[in-house]
Amino acid sequence: MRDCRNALWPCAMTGAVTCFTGIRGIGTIIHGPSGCYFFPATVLHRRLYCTFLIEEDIIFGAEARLLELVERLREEYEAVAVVNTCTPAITGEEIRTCLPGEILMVDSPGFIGNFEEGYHAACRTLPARIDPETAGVNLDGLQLLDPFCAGNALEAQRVLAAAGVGVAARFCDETLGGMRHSSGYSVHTNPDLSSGFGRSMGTLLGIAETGETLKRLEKTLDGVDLEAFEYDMETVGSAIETSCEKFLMRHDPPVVAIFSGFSYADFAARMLKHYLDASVTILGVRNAPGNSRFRTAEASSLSAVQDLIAADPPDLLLGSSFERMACPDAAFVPFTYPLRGMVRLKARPLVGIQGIAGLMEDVLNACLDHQDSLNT
Amino acid sequence: MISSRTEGCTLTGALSVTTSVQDAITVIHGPDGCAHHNFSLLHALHFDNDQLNLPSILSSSLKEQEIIFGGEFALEETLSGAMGESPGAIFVLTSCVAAAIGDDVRAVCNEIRGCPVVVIPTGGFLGGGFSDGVRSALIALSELGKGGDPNGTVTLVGEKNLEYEAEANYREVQRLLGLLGVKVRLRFVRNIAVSEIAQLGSSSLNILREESLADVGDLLKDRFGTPYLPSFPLGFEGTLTFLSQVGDALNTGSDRAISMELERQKGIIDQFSELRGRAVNICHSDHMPAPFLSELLELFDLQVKERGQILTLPDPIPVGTSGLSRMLSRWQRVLHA
Repeated sequence: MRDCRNALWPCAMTGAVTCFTGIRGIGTIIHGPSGCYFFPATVLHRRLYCTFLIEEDIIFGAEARLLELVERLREEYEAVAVVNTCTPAITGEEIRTCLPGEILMVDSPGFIGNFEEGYHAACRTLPARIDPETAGVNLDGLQLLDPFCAGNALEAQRVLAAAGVGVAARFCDETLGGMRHSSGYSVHTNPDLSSGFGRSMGTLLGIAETGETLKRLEKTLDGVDLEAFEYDMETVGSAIETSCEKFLMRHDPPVVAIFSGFSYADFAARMLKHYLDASVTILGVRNAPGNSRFRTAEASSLSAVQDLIAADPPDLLLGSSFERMACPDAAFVPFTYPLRGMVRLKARPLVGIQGIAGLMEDVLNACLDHQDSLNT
Repeated sequence: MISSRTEGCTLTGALSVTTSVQDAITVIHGPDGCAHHNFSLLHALHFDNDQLNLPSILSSSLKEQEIIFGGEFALEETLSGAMGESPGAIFVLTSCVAAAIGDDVRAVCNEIRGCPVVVIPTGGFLGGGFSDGVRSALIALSELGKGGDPNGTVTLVGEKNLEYEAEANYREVQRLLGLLGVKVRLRFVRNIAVSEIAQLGSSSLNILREESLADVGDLLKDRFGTPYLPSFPLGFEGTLTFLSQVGDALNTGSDRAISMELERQKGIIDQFSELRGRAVNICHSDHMPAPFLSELLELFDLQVKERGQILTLPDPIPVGTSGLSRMLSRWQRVLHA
């Protein structure tokens, strides 16, 4: 039985567009109708272009319209990317052959899959090059739709700088020029969205994982010094332990349900288990579930989310504003796209030391506020 | 089909209508991405409009396999799931994907028994744009309407459910009708149950939200014999004309109502006398009706100059005297700033 009530995750076309629009210097064209254009244009807040197809373009062909736009953007941008949408893909319009060779083209119609599939397909077309002269490491897994994107970039840069490691290219929030001089090594901020560029040196998601990644870098690169990180880790780690201990003196460990992409959800579950001995009822993941010691299920529709919550009601919820509306009685921590009905201006990280500190701070405050509201 | 290239999808237009029927389920016969784009948009707008309920949109989840082998079975399965929830009605919208692969959606829907299944052949962008979707949905949903004896009430047709001021506009029309002693019987379609649509043919007058819905007005007139006014009231003079037209259509005297409203308008014009004679540069959309703008320029003796104070005329145009008053208040604030 098909049961997709209120789909919660964007399509492959949006994923591909998100990848390209993160690279400054690329003019991104959606080859499709205005309906396909408005959604990414609204949520990404970046300049996008569209061929704005109508029915007659499908009947008489839209190549000329696309070529005209491509030619215009080639004068304005260092590179042009074209993302194909559902109907031109079905009608089999041969746009790839009509485009000049250097145009980045991805056939990523919405029906081929979810956001991640389109994102990865676009990554495979990026003209990134490893420059042996480039020092430092690339940051991988940065995507504009992620509420932690800007914060992750800042925190990763801070942690790496303190260890004496520079940041080379940032996939995919970078200039085209920067991407053409990427490092041969990469560290991940979100392993779900690995671009495939550079040799993976590990993730910065989690304090222990960040430590392991830095140790790997120490063995590989010259001049890496872990002292600052270790001091920071001890200080912040101890502050988190103290706050959680204090919370547990008055409160039971939370019963938590976590909804987001797999890597973030698994990371949050491990941290909540470690610091608060939380009972994790479910990791409801928007993309393909990976291996986890926690119960994991796909949650890319509101019906799936509601069923998972009803089966084992949590008192703490990490997720999007969809989950917040689906379970208004639980304490809520904003954790994944979309986050509506709240103001979020600050760059919040999830990676590194400040990432875990921020997560635990949000969790403890949400739980305390929730308790207060129950008591009044 | 009259939409422009940049108007947005027919699905969004049709959903703005169908998701306002509270006990119905809307099915999008298309990929999950189309459902998400629209659900996400509606979710955001509902937050803006303080409506914390989520619309119910099912997707037939078309994937590559259905593109090759056809999506009718996927739709059938989705409809079976929807039927399990005993909705008041199921509205089936078609995406451009369903239109491109040529699924026979009506044939699948005709097999469903037990609740009304209304096909709205939107066809994504292959069926036009946002406003075509709105019209298609209103026309399709009118099939659930029944005739009845006209009883002196009115039906509002095609309120813009996604606009921020939708409820304020409704209250203004309700206030104006109240001056004539006339009541709204049905809001077709805004926050109603499926069963209420049956009253569609029982009003004495339909009032369309805007002139572009004339073909919906004509269809309802042909089907139920109900006359219609082409638009909600726009402009000071237009609001008085609106009162006169409703009075004429319903055979209720309108002189007293017009005179009361005229007094109110004079008070408002005096209240914004600071605007008089100012040099302004008014930004407006291309489809702004000329009489609306020229009335304001004349009433306040505004001097249009390229380097004048930039003021914005909202799109859609404010409704009635109250809408104009709120707009003038915002203009005055800009001039004070």
